[in-house]
Parts: sequence; C-alpha cells; structure tokens
Amino acid sequence: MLFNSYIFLFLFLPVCAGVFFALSAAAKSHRAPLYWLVFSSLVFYGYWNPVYLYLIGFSITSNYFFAALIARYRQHYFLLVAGVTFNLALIAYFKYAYFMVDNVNQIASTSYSIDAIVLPLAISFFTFQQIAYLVDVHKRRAERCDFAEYVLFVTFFPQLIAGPIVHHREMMPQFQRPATYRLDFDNLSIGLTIFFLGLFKKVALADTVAIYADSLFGLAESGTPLSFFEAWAAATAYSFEIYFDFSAYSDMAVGLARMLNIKLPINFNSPYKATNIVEFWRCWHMTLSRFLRDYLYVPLGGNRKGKLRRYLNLLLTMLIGGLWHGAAWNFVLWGGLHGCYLVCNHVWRRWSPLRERKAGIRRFVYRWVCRAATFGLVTIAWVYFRETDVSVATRIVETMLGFHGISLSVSLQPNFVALFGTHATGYLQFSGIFPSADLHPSFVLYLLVLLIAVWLMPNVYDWMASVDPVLLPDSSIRSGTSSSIQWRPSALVFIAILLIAFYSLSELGNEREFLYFQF
Amino acid sequence: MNESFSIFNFSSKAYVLGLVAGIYATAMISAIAFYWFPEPFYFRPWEYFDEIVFHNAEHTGEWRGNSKGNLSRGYLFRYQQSWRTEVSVNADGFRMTPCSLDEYPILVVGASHTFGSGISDHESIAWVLSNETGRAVFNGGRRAFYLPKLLANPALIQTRIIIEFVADDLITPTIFADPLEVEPYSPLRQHDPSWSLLRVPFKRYFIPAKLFRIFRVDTPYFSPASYGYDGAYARGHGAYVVAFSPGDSAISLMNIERRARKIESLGYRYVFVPIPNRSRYYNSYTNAYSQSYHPLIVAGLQQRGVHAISVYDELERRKRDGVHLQTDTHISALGANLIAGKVASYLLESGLLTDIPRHSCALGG
Repeated sequence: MLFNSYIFLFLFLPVCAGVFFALSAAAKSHRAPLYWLVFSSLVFYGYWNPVYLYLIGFSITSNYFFAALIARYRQHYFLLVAGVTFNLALIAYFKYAYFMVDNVNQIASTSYSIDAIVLPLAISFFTFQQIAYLVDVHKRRAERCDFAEYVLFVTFFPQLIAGPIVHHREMMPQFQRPATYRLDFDNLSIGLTIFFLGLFKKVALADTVAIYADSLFGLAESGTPLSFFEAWAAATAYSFEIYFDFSAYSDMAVGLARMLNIKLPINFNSPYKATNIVEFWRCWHMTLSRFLRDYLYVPLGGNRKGKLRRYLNLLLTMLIGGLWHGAAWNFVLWGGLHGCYLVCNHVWRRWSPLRERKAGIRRFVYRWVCRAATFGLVTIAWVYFRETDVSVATRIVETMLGFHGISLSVSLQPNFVALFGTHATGYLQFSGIFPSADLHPSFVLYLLVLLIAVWLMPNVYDWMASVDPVLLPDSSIRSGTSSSIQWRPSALVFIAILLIAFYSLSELGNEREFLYFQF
Repeated sequence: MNESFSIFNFSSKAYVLGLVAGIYATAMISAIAFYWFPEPFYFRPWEYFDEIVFHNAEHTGEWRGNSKGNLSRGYLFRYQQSWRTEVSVNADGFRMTPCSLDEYPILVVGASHTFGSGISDHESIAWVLSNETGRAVFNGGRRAFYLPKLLANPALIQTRIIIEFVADDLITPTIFADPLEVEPYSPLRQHDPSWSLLRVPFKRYFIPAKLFRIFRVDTPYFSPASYGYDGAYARGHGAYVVAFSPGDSAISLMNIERRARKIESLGYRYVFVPIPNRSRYYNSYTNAYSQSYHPLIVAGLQQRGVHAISVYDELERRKRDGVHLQTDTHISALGANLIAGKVASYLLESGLLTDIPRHSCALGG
C-alpha cells in the first residue's frame, strides 16, 4: 500500500489511527493498541502481496529465535554468525540470486537458469534492521523483548517499506511508554503537518520533475544522443526527482509515526546543502549510512588500520552500499563512484593547500563553490543510479563531461564564426541548446528554482525544530539552518497546510511508487 | 511551543480537527456534487462517456462543452489548449453519423481515433466517409478490437464492408492473436446497476482538484502559435520508437491477414487502415525503422492480398497544419478529414462500393 494512495489516505489511515486511539482510551493496558498496530502493519504489508507475509513472518520469527539464543549464550560467537548468515542468505536468494546466476553464466559461459523471483517489498530494510538487532543483542546494546513488540519493531508500517532503518533501542522505549497510547493533539498536529508536506513534495515536485527526467532518459535509451545541456538537464531532473521522492517518503514516515506518538530517527537532512561528499552522506539516507558505518565500515577496521586500509574500507563499504540498492551493475558503479568520491574527499582534506576560512567573503565563496561541486558530482553519479543500461549511462556522463562537444543555439553560430573563425567551432555545434525539442527552456528555469530552493530554504525539521520532530541520534549530524520562523499551530499555517493537502489529494490520480520502494 | 509565528491562537486540537474535518468534509461534498452534476467535472468527453453515459441508459447521450488535451495535463509548464466539441451517441452508445438508418452497408471499427476523441460528430472519420462515399456508415469506434461483440448488432445485418482503423502503435505481435469469433451483441451503453462512485477516480470529483485545474489548465504559459504541432507532445505518448524486429512484424501481419480471411469468410469485405502515431512524422522523435514501420505494415498486408490503406503521406504532407490535436494524442478534424478522404477514394477506385447503392437519406455535414 502506498502512502500516496487513496486507499491509504481515506481508509487505512483513518481506521488504523481511529481504532488505535479508541483502544488506547478503552483498554487498561497498552497491549490491545499494540496488537492493533501489529495487525495494521501486517495488513499494510500484506496488501501488496499476502504471500510475502509468510516470508516476513519467517524472517521475524527466526531472528527472534536467534536473538534469544544469542542473548542466552553470548560467549558463542557462532550464533551471531549463524544469525547474520541466515539474514544474508535470505536476501541473497530473493534479491541477488538472479543477478549472481546471470553473471556466472556470462563469465563461465554456462546456461544455468532459475525461475524469476519477485523481490519482496522492503526485504533490504527489514533484513538490515534485524541484522543490526542481532549484533546489538550480542554486544549488549539491545535487550530481548516481548514478541509482539519485536514484531512491531520490524513491521511498524510508517518505516517498514523504505526506512528509516531503526535501532531497537530507539523504538522499544517508545513502544513501552504509556504516553504512546494516549490521544495527543500536539503530536497529531505535528504529524499531520509533516505528512502533508511530504505528500506535497511527492506529488507536486518529485512526480512532476519525473515526467521530464523519464522523457529525457527515454530519449537516451532509444538511441538518440543527448546534447550537453540536455544531458545535464536529464541528470539534474533525476537528481531532484530522487531528492524530493526520498525526502517526501521520509517526511511522510516521520509524520505518520508522530501521529501515533512515535518519533523516528532523522533520515534526510537537506543533503544538497552539503559542501562535500562526506557531509552529503551524513545527510542522505542517514540511517543507512549509520548502518553501513556501524555494521560494516567499523568492523572492517574503519580508520584504525592506516590510511590505505581506511580508503579500501570506504570503497568496499560504498560498493556494498550500492549493491544494497539493487542487484545490478549500475548500482555497483554508483556505489563505487561514491566510494571514490569519499576517498578523494579524505585525501583532499589531508593534502589540499586550500583550507576553509573561518569567516569572511572568501569562506562564503569557498563554501558555495564546494556546495556546487558536490552537487555536480552527486548529479553525475545519479545517472548510474537511474540508468540500468551502463553503456547508456556512460554515454550520458561522457556528454555531461563534454566529451561529445557542446551544442549551442543556432543563432550564435555567425557570432562565433566571426570571432574565432570556422576552425574554432569544431567542438561547438550549433544545432540548438535542446535540439531534441523535448525540453522546454522554461523547465530549465524550473530546475534552477528547485536548486535555489533546496540550497537556501530551511527544511521541515529546521522549521519545526522547536517541537523536536525527529530523533537526532548522532551528535555529528548537522543541525541544519535553524529557521527563524518556527512552526506552531496558527490560522495561517492551518490554511497553508489545508491548501497543500487539497492540492496533493488533487494530484494523486497517477500514483507513482516511491523510488526507494524497489530496494 | 514557540510563539513566534502566529496570526491567531490555534490550539493543536482545533488544528487537527480542522484539517481532518476540512479534508473529509470536502471529499464528501465533492462526491455529492458529482453524483448530481457530473458533467462539469470532466475535461473531455471520452472519460465522461466511459464513466457516466455508458452506465446510464436514460442519459441524453450528449456532450456540449470544452475539451482539453490528454497530453498536456500532466505538465506544469505546457500550453493547455481548450476547444469546443459536440459529441452525441445513439441509444446503444455509438457515435452519431449523418445517416441514421436501420441498416448500414459500411461499418468502421476501432478505438478512440475512430470514435473521434476530441472532435465533434460532423468531423469524425465515419461522418466524413459517409458524406464522401454517399453511403451510410456506422461508427463502431470506441474500444479497440471490439468487433466480435458488434457484428451481431441488428443494424449491421446488411453490412458489406468493414473498415478497421488501428493506431499503429497497437500493431504489435500480440495484435489479433486470438482468432475472431462472433459473440453476442453487446451495446456500449447499458443500464449498470453496479455503478458507484468507487468506479470513478477520486480526483475526478474532488472539488479542490477542479479548482486547481482552473489555474493550471487555463494558463497559457506559451502561445500556441510559437508552440507548433511538433512540440514535446509528439513523444509524450511514449510510442515513438518501434521496438520489435521485422520478424515480430511478420507475426503481426500474419495475425491481421488471418483476421481478414475470417471476416471475409463471414461475407464481408475487410479493409485495414493503420493510423500513424503522431510521433512518426517528426524525425527527431523517432528512428528510421520507426518511420518505415507504417509503410512496411501496409505494403506487407497488400502483398498478402489484404485491402490495406496507407494514410501516411496525406498526414505527412499536412503535418504543419495540425493533423493531430495540439495537446492530445488524437487526430484533429483535419486529420480525420484527410484519412476519410483517402479511404473514400480507395473504396471508390477499388470498386468495393460498386454493388452498394447510395442511400437516399439526406447526408449532413
């Protein structure tokens, strides 16, 4: 079930929240509303394909069993290894089996075949979440809990499908707290506001810009070469599509949970404001970055075994992070590219003669150049994330880097010839800035407006900082630009949110899945 | 909570209840308004007939109002064309033609192009064809491949010629894969006791959606004169590249030929007319194979002895004049006129009409 579907908004959500608060008010203990949330979450998941309820049920039961054994026999390390292996085997079969067989066939010229396996929704998320739980139990960072609470920890519907990847220690105290089971209008007002802002981002921004991104990438896939500016427009459009799509999902998840008196960890914090790649990864899919850091990079040795080893660890972590997103080489390349970016970033920090000034205009300029460069590098990498055909993606990236010349407006040709002669215009073509006519120049203006907005505007969490909308579990997280205008229920905000809700509901007809649902 | 941003004091409770009530009450009012007055909620007749008229045998079966293109509506920065259309259907739901009789010697079948989506009655292919040939033509256009459910229509007992129009992006290897078997007649328009609001998309009747459309649709961001007919919409339909091989096309041809033989064995003369997708005319949206696809299909069918008519050249010659609606996937009145003219010429020149007398009814137009 999609958050941006009518069945969710007009049936599931009101029934789920209504019954939850009714049970909370009527029941003496919190067990009944907790069971109801478990039931609702399973309905939410099963609505997509009921058969996979067996899979998630099997995964949850097995992990609960492993956790019990690990907690009881902590000295037996192999129990943890067995538990993690079990999870990896599950995800390997459902997500990577076809990819592995296909690659074996290509390398060894064999013809093994397996039946097509439908990727179970959210398997990457609930598997990683449970691996983290097993490790935390082994390290005494998490305690064993009641089975129903554990099921809710894994399946809690606001975060089940596409994160955030939550820690046991973040959720359990909230599930056990009596205040969670009381109707709280403050939390409802905060949750509704964040939810509708997220819905607006999805339908008004992500889905709108996606039309253009799809059109331009479709052109490239059909074999029509894009011009320099078209390639940049395509990549930038996709950058904004995935930005607003994931930001929207994260907001909606946070908002929904908050309506039910639960705070989720922050997962998205204006990543395009980052002035370097390290900072970008502290703000993009923050809970995945946290997982990769704590459960992969650090166990690999992190930065404790020398610089070269640190860079190798970074590269490996990002390659696996890329593969986590999908069983295809384009995701591996995307992860590898980001791994290289991170390595370069660390090398730059150590060796660069340029240092960030503490204040003044030079610091201002330096930071904005860094921000623009970071955005450009991230945008180039998104091409591999979007385009499954690596050769098409590479062609687009080559074009973006100017390897195939730059096409300018036809009207400029006489001026260039007059200035530089015909020999100087070989690299420049004059077939139009957007020769395929698929892109109206006004759309470029739209992209620029979006860019300025994501760079300069405070995000939802800045705007609502006074009501602590999310958990900030890591002290290294940039707190964002603290907005001077803070949210609070008022007539003006009420009207604005109502209009935003109306607009979002008006645009829901062509429901597009969230991009992160495929992972 | 911080008090720095407030016009009026609003409690959280009032805020929440206001939002919830505002959204659900508006949805309820919208549903009631739509239930009683559905027509203003539609932007073109196609959906109006599908969702309302065909489920209500008592409806007048008419649409008189402005239409807007189906291609432009998803875009924020696009010109939104608006034009008047007048559509009427008979008691069974079929588009009116100038000669309303009990029997029709010519039947045209197909989907939206044949129905005349976006154009008025007198501009449709069937109407013009009727005028050009002097024979009564039944417009059976509505749903693709509807022919098996149509042949037993009592008004078509005397039909001699069946002309099937198919958008060429539908000519895939799966076309007519199932052999044609005549089925009991099924009118498009019937009383549907199971009809309910749940069958209609919510945004169709959500009043705020309608209000937002006013701002979006009627804002001429760019003048139509500068926009032309080969703007981005030429590829918006997504059918600009033919993705199947010549081998796949041979399967399509075989299927069409089998259908032609079957129809001929039932005593009809069969004519097949592919309608080119609008992107076919514009080089920058397609590739050489896609551009050759239309002539390839027609030539292949003619080699197999099937009456197939190419309208490609006629449309190509006039593409700058707008053979398709500017912001819509469908052919314009000019396009329909050119297609009908070409088909009429073919019918007359090939002798397919010689034994079919002209009708005495007054042909309008």
